[in-house]
Amino acid sequence: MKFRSSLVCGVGTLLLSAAGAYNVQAASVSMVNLGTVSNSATDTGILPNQAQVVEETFTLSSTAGITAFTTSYGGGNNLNGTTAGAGGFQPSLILFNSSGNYVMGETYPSPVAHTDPTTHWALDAYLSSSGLPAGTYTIALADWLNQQSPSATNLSDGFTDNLGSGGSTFVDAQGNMRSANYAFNLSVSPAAPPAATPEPATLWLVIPALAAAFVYGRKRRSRLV
Amino acid sequence: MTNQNLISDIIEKSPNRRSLLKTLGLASAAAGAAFTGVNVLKAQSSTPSVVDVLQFALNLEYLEAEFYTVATMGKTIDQVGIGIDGSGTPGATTGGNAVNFSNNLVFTGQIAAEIGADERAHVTLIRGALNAAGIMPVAKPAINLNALGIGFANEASFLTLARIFEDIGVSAYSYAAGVPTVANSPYIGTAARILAAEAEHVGSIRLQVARLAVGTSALDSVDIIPPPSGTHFLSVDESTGLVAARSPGQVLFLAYGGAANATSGGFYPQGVNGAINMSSASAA
Repeated sequence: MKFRSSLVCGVGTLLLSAAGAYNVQAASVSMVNLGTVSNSATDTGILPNQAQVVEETFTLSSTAGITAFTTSYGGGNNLNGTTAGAGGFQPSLILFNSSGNYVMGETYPSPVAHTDPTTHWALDAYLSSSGLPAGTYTIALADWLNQQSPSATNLSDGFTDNLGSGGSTFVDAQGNMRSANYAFNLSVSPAAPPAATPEPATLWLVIPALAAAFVYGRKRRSRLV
Repeated sequence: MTNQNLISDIIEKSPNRRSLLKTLGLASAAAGAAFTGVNVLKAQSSTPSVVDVLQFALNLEYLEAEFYTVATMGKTIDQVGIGIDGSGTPGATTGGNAVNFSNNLVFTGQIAAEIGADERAHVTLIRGALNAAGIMPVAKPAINLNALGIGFANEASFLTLARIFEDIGVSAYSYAAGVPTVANSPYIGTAARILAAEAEHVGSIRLQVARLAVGTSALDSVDIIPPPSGTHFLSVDESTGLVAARSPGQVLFLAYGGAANATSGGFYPQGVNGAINMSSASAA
C-alpha cells in the first residue's frame, strides 16, 4: 500500500460557546486539512490542553469506504510508515459531513487497537464506514471526556469539556495519567465497481438456434442455386 | 438461539398443536375472529388470553422498534425488512428522524443501534410465535413518533423518550408475567427472556440519562425517574426490590398521551390493534 503523508494546511484555534447544562468549559479547536484523500493519511501531534479538539477534514472524490483509527494510546504502526509509541490520551472519534451533521460515532472496542504495556488496556478509537458519498467530511478527535453537549445538533455546536481537567492533565477511563500525544490515521478504499451484469441465460439458448438457422439457410440457398 | 429455535421450543413444549391452541385459549373460538374487535369488551373485562397479551405486546414492540430504527438508521422497520402486515388496521409511521449521537461518552449511538436490533428481533419473534400457532399477528398500527414532541432533536431528547419507552416496556412485561394465562403458557420462558432484555435496555438508558445530565419527569405515580431529576439510578422499588408492573390499560394511558378510557391517541393515533386496546386510569 502506498502511504501518503498528512498535509496540514492550516491550524486555527476557535473558542466555541457551548449550549445546555454541559457548558462547563468550552473546547478550543484546531483544524487540520488532509485534502483529498484517495489512499491514506496520518496526522500526529500534541494537544495543547485536554479541552482541545482536532478537526481532521478530508475530501473524497468519489464514493469510498473509510477507516479511521488512532494508535497513540496503545502504540502501533501508522499508515505513513511511522510508529506511534504508547502513552497517549484515551481518544474519541466522531464523523461529520460537510454540513456539520453527525454521520457516525466510533465503534468500541477498536478491532485494531494495541494494548498499552503500562495500563494493560486497549483504548484507542476506531470508526469505519463502507460507503461514504463523495464530499468533504470532518472527523473530530478529542480526549474521551471532551464531548459535544447531548443537546448539540451540529458540529458547529462545539465540544464541552465537562469532566476533564481542561488543562494539561489527561486521565483515561481507568484513572491512569496519560500524555497529550495523538496519532490519527485515515484509510480510504474506493468503492468496488458494480459487478458486471450477467447475460441472460436464455441468450445462450438463442445464439445456437440463430447460428443453426443461419447455416441451414445458407445450405438451402446453395442447393437452390 | 435464533427466533425460529425459540418458536420451535415453544411449540415443542406443547404436546401437540391442538394442545397448544387450547393453552392459548383458542380451542373453542375461531382464531381469526378473536382479533377483529368483536371481543374487545369481553377481553378487557376478564382475564385476557395469552394471545391477547402477545398481540398487545406486539403493538408495543412495533413502537419501540420504530423509535430506535428511525433514530439510528433514519428508516422505518418495514424499510429494513421487518414484517408489519397482519390483522386489524394497518397504519403508517410518521415523525422522527435520524438522531445526532455526537456525544460518545457513554456510547449512546452504539447502544441505541444494539437496542434497535433487539426490538426488531422482538417484533419478528412475537410475529413468528403467533404465526407458528396459526394465529395471524396484528398489523403495525399507525404510529406517531412525534406524539410528545421529543425524541429526535438531539441526543438528550432521544434519551428522554428512550427512558420512557423502556421503563414502560419493563413494567408492561412484568405485569404480563403475572397474568395466569401467560404464566401457564409455553410462552412464559420466552416472555421472561424478553423482559430481561428490556430490563437491560432500561438499565443502560437510565445510566446514560444520569451520566449526561438529561432532565426527566415522572410519567405516573409508580414511575421512578433517574438522576439528575430523580435520585435512583435504577427503576427498582428499594422497599420490595421489584420493578413496577403496569396493566395494559395503564400502559395505554401513557401511550395514548395520558387519556383514560380511550382507544386511541398519542403514539397510536388510530389505536392499537388487537383485543386489548382501551386505556384505563393511570397507574397509582
